[in-house]
Amino acid sequence: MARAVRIRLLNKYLPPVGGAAGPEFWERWRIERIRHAALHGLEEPLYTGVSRRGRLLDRLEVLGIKPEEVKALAEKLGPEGIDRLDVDVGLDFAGVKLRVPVYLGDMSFGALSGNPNIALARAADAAGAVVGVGEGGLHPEVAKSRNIVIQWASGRFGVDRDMLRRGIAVNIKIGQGAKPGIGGHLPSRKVVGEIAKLRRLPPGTEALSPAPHHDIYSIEDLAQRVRMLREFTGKPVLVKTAATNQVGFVALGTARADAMGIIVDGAGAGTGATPKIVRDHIGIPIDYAVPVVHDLLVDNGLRDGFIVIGGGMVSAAEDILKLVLLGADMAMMGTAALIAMGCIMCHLCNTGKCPTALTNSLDSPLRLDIDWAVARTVNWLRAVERGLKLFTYLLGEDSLHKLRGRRELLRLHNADPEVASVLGVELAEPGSVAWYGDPREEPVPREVYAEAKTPVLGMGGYVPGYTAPAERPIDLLRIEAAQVTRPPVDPYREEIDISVRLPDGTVYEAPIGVPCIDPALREAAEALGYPLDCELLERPYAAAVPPGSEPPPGTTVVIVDEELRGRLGRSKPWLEEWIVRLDDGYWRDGIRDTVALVAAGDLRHAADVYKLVALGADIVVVRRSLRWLSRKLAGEPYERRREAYENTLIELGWELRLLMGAGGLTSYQSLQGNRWLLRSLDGEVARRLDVAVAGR
Amino acid sequence: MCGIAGVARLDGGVEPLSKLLASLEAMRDRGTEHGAGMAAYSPEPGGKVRARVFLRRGRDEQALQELLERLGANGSHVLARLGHGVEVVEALLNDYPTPADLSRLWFLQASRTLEVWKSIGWPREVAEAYGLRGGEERRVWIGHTRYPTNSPGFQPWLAHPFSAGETVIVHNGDLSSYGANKRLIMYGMGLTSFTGNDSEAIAYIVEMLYRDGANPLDVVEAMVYGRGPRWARLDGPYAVIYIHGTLHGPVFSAFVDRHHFRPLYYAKVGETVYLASEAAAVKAMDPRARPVMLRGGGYIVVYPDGEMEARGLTSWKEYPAPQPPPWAVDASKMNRVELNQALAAMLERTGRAAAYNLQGHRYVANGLGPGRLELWGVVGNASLNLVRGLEARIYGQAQEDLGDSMEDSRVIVYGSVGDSAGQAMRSGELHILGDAGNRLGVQMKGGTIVLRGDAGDYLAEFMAGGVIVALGRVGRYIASGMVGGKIYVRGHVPVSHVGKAPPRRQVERYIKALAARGEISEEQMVKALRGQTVEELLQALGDKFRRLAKLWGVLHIGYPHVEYRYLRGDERDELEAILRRHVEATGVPLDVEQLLEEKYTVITSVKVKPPEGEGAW
Repeated sequence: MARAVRIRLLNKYLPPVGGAAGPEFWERWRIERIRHAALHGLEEPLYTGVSRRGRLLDRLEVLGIKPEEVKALAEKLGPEGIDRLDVDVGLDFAGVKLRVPVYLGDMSFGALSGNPNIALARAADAAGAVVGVGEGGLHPEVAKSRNIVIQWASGRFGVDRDMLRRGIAVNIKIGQGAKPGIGGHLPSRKVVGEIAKLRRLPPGTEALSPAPHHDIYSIEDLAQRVRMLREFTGKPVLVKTAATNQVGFVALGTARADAMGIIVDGAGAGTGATPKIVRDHIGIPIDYAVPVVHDLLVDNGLRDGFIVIGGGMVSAAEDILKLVLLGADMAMMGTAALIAMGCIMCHLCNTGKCPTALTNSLDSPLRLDIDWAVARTVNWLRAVERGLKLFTYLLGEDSLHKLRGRRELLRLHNADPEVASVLGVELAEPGSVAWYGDPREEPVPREVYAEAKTPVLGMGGYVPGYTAPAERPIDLLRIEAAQVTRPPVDPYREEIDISVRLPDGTVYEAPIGVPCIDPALREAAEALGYPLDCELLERPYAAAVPPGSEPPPGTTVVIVDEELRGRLGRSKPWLEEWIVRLDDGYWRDGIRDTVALVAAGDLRHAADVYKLVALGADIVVVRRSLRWLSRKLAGEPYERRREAYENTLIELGWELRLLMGAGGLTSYQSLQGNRWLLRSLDGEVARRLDVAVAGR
Repeated sequence: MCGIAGVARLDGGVEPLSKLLASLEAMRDRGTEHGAGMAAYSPEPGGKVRARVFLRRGRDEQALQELLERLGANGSHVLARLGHGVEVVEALLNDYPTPADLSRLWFLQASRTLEVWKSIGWPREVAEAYGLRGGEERRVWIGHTRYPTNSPGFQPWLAHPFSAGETVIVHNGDLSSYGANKRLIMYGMGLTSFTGNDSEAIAYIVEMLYRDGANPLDVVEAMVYGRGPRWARLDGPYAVIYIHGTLHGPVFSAFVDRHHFRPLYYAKVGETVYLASEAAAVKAMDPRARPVMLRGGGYIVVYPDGEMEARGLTSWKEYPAPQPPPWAVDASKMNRVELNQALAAMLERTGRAAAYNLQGHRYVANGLGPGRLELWGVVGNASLNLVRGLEARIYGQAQEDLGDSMEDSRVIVYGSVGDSAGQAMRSGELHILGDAGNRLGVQMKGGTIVLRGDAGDYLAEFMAGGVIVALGRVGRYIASGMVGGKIYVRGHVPVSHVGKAPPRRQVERYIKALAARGEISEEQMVKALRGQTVEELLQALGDKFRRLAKLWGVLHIGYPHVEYRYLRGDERDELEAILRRHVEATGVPLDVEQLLEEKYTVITSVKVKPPEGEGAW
């Protein structure tokens, strides 16, 4: 018998988790800042000054703004005083004059549980912002608001001809920063009731949107859809893409298609559910992307009247100011809005068990108090508006728009000249974007070895070497995703061939090398057809060398093993660097197709495999995670160990396919040596690994 | 990026440039003013290398001078002035330029048998810049109108066609394999300078393969299927047309990526072969043409002696069409906006609308309805989307994306449809009498689709509801990601063509390993190795299948359930109703009684959740 469920209304902030469970951009102080703004109408602190590490946004100094001055002036004027400043920070958006240049990110009814959708839409109207409704149909209450943007996404969930005309604009969603090249995913446990009905799905099925739009495989196809939707709705059309290697040209193509603007969503953006490996390694951060987009549009005479919206870990007014100075018109904020409504950053969004009633499943008894949430969100948006007014005033302008692209007002601290030149910002002092340390991550999560499941998580921002320390240079490399110019490929529905054929004709099912550390692991690898490092070494004409040593002439299986150089492991050259050098050397000598190049070392996951193969290796031996696992499993019976290893190896294969598919690769053959697919966040890493800097 | 076209004579005769230009102009929506170009087979009479370079005044004179001093045969002349201080200079050379020369100057071509014209602008503007009037005649032409993808739009050397030696290509797409392909030509051909345009790599690889002794089919094998030199395989979307000139005549060939991410239409009229990115653009070259699709992984080769080989062409099916009513509008005199306004006005006034001579007009009747609509000709991309309550008949064919998100409507096509027809269809009926491209009924949410002809790959991908009846042959990867609905395919479909399975090699290896460890009996192994479907494997392996299931991936939301059999009673009733409605709607007879007696492959979605891991980790 069904028990009567008592609905509980949530109308207060719970203690935040942020930053406690692993590296996290949304640390407690950022959450507290947003809550302060949502309660008091002013951010605290308003301006944090320059940081030596972290995002480029954090390393950018705005000339003419000092933290103390901002604080003093804010205290002197107070919220009302700031409101009275004769400064305009809004803009015209699809015929509506916005008060604050904020686009509240596209969070669907389904990803959010209804009440938060309503609260966001009402808050956007009240505070003069705009809200994207996401893919999942239009909630009838949301439809009553004015400043809404309707989404046309690859799953077409909830789309019909009336709904498309209900907003002030239409947004074609190609991709998002949290999972470039991956389709939308609403986990089955949240596909219930009204949500399933609106999406026209049998309840309890996974709501998967295809990775590409199956009618948009190229830029001319995108143009076709932009024109179709514009002619159909009579409304302007926006395009939302993740920030990737080609983002500048995607923006150009979008502008040529007569779109009203582009939303560029940077790496580390939030989402309801994304495979962790994708979130952590694909796409480039927004601060690299915005200036590139701005410059290309200007160079091609397409900047005027075109709106550039930057998103991805945008947390406060000062971030928006810097994005505008780099060339954006507006910022997209999603996570920050959820925090204003009570998100505590516990990463449970994909489970439907949100303790703050934001992303919980419809059948759960907890509900967000709409009035409370609207009040908080409006307050927070006001605070953002006030912050921007204050900054604009301090910079001596009467409108934020006049600051767009004014990069002479910026100085970049502790970065390399190459990165500074991508941004078009003067360098304050030379330094390095890369910083190293231990990111405190468990190499193999439980769901991997116990269930062969791809770890999926919700929300949070993490870009190694950028928001958190990198472990090794390869972490600074970002992987390409296909956006607009070509379609990504979904490994669960389309074939992605990761098998490797060595020059002698041996075929392995994956380029993932396995260390011979446990007989159970050996057996698992053999059954799956993965190469074993000890067997590779036993092949004729095989040799193992440390990075920095040339293998003997005539070697056809070259294993570059970073452990061979002993204790002083981290000295030059890096393993990844030596792979690049050897690969180039074999090409120059005309013998590349006769040599198998194996990279072995302290490597962790599928992203390491992808990157090293793209840099030039044929096979990558993943030692760290498998060693960790063998220690973890010590004492377990043989069968259980074998199964755990097997799960882990299968999962590594799936993650590799996910990464490849996101970039539109269907074969290992197109990945090997394809350095075009990689971009570096750091100039020195770029130089030494022969890849371009992000944004180039 | 872009729209491409080609025309070739099989009998050694010639065709005028005007045909090619007409085709490119018909694809205006696929291009921009940011580049266009043409190429033709045109052997240099003296057997010299005909070089054309972009000369940037004040920058390139010295490099050109040195080239001419070393290789020049008899001076040079300006072929065209493109403005902004850029000229195209033509010179005859005694030999091919070296890679070093290629890195110093932007060449349009350096070839004994080809001619290339290209620049910034629309196709006709580019032709005019070179003084071409359309009457020029050659045996083979290819052309391109550009929508820049990954490079700026103001440099003429980034326009197509791209040539390398005796090969010249036009490409629509964007290669994900570019970085890998580039290394092959960098080191294989000693090239040091690239435009950065991925299409250029295709020209060089084709040329390299021919220099290494490949024939046209080898080129397809290597580039499309990866059965050739390493790093020669192309990945990502592409439709390519190329000419490879020999002294005995031209090889004219085209191929399309295996996923059919880019369209290419083909027609042969008399001794002339036509190719273009859109059916309407084929008809623009010759109104008698009957364009058919080149399917994913398909190719066309015309050898120098006029012999032709092709694989992956759909077939042309024609049904008698009534005459348009006298009040119908002539679409050829209107652009798409005018046409749609006219159709909307007619529907509003009388509830009926009709238009003839459609020439690939896009977005036709989107969002219209209720009412009755009749169309004659080629219906362009993204038409009849979001219609509601519309009864539409198309006498002719429809290109890509017909009927996206349509509701409560009945659409009948007396011909073929391109890719992704009926995408996210919500309800109503879609009747197709010809063939369908890839992804028919992708993400279908409700309603019925009846297809008389053949379907491409990925039929009913992500299907969530409704019924699809396919009476012809079907492609691979049917119903992958299916979560609801039902598919009837007449006749037997190999189960390996349903859904997506892990590589067979890996499955077999794993089953053998299970047997080697003694986890399954010899008998079970033999049975499992014979097993084709997930169900057969499940039967053979019992609970050991749980292990194997991981190879399918857990996000995979269920394996489609496949049965090849006679219809059950309720299915008979369902199919009979659908087919009778189909015959009534289309007016084209079918032996329904006979069809109900045949065997069908019936595909439904089943959720086979991999059992939870045993024991507690």
